[in-house]
Amino acid sequence: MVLVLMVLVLASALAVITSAHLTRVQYARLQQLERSKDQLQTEWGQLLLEESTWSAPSRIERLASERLDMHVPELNEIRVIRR
Amino acid sequence: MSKSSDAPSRAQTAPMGSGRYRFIVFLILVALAVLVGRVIDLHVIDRLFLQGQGDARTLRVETIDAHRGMITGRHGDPLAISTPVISLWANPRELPTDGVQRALLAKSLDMTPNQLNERIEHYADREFVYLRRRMTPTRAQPVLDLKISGVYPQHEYKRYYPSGEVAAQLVGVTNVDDRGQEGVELAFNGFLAGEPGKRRVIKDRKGRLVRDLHLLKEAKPGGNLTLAVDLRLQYMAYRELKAAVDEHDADGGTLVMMDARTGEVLAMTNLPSYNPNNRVDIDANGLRNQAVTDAFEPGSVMKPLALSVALETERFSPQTVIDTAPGYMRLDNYTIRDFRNYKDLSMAGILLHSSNVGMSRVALQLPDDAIWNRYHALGFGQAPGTGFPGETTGSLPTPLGWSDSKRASMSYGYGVSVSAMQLASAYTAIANDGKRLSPSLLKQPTPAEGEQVISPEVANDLLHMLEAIAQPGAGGARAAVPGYRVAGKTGTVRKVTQSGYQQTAYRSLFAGIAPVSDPRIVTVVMVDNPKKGDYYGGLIAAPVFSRVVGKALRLLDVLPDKQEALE
Repeated sequence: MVLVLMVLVLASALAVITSAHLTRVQYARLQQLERSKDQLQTEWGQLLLEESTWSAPSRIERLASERLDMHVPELNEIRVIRR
Repeated sequence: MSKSSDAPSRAQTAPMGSGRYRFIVFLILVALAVLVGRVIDLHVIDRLFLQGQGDARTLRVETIDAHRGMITGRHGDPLAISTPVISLWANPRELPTDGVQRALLAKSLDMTPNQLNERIEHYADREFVYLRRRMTPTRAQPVLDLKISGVYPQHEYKRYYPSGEVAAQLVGVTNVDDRGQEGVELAFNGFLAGEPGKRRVIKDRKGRLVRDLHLLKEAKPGGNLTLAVDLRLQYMAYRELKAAVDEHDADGGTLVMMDARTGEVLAMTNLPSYNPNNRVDIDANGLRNQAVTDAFEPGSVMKPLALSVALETERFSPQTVIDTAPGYMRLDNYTIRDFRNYKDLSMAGILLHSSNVGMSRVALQLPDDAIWNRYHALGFGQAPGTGFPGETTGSLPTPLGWSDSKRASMSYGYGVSVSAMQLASAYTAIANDGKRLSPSLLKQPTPAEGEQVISPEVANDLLHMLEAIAQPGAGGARAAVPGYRVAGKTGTVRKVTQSGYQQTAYRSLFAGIAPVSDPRIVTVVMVDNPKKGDYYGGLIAAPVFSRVVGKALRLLDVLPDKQEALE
């Protein structure tokens, strides 16, 4: 009887150790994920800024006229298609 | 060895129960009692104190950053974003004293060693000194990689404004501590700011996190705000307004463009402006969103609004003719003048020639408070209620004890003051079948139901009278937009200073609606004190209206409603 109890106590002690260890591991992982979330957030913000810089209306307009040789259509170049 | 061999012989000479044995047992018991006492002392009596001391060394309450929400335009383009930055701080007592390390640190911070030393000496008796605030993470990392003792990072957020000066006054700015100081940043600070969370953690002596105990308060990140402004229109409006202000050497200018169906403010731009990303040389005048915060005398652009009252009465119809000869009239010792003697004018003619005399004659035939009531119903003299900080109510003096001259001058826009946004909002009544729309800086999920101020028929009549003003040969001819029918009213006002009306300083205005067949936008342009000779609204503000509205209609994919006529 005593022997069984001792074994059980030992087993539960080991289980406590294991679960504490697992908690630490998971906690470390959580922290790492939080860090990477922060980093991704930062990156997203910077990409958003970059996108808005590249797609600034003035830049698009300049590129369209210089590189693609486009222009704003004159009035009689516009055809309205009515359905 | 000798002692152990002695022991058995002593045991023999000291039998059980002898004094020495008892003494030893007593000593052991005393030692035990002392130990138990100490344990009780530590665990029970001193427990609070010791626990507190222990916690004070390891338990920390950490704040969890909540970043400020983003402000975007109506299509999601960012107008204000928070990006993380690192402020480096140091504990002067922990900093190395040797010159090489200090020089390395100074170099990585872009400072000379002398500058750095001075800074550290100045705070030598403190435990905290900022080395450099708000560095980008990529620039701060090399400094941290030097691993100089006593240098620590502090994570912060910096606000960045991609649209720069284009929407500066509308969006506003935050201060170093990320609190809104101006504009929308201030108006919706509570919503944008978010609440930092708190958590209790165990840290070791070096400040490393050992264990997260529990969350005290969850971090609530700030909300994202979507403004009504369309960034493409905003850019374009800013550029055109700036071109006009530069061309005419004006003091400044304001442009407000409202959606004629929802009341949303699609573009709102002011000059002078400033770059919110670099606040070293901010002109205090550029900080104000003048379209909302500054009231001015509107002058002739008020005539269609005053005329709407007359047209609703039995006495006046669009065909009613008013005799304006001889082109001036005296009223309470004031002389009201027209540009020249127009003689007989219809209602449309009064607007077309912007006749002050004709307008006054009409106004004096109306009940004392009729025009005042109409102006009030159109939102003048009241805060527009957009929540924008410093929103002006304008001024609309009460009708009590009005003289004829005051009633007359009010009808052609003198003696009252309005902001550009109020004016645009009032014009939505003409564009929107008599229903005035309140201006909204935020994107509206559902179109607003306007308030019926002018009867639909009169609003429609006025719209067509205003269209005549933008025809070739008329005062607002330069406001015409190829391909579209537009309507609008010019205005030219003498600027008021403390010494009264200025002889040579004017405001040049144009308020208009486009396209006439199915109004989509209402635009108000104001150019402040053009100094290159011309100052008439039809010459300065109308061309800006024409360019801005033409491009805006195209950007908004509005069907041209005058194309056939030109072909």
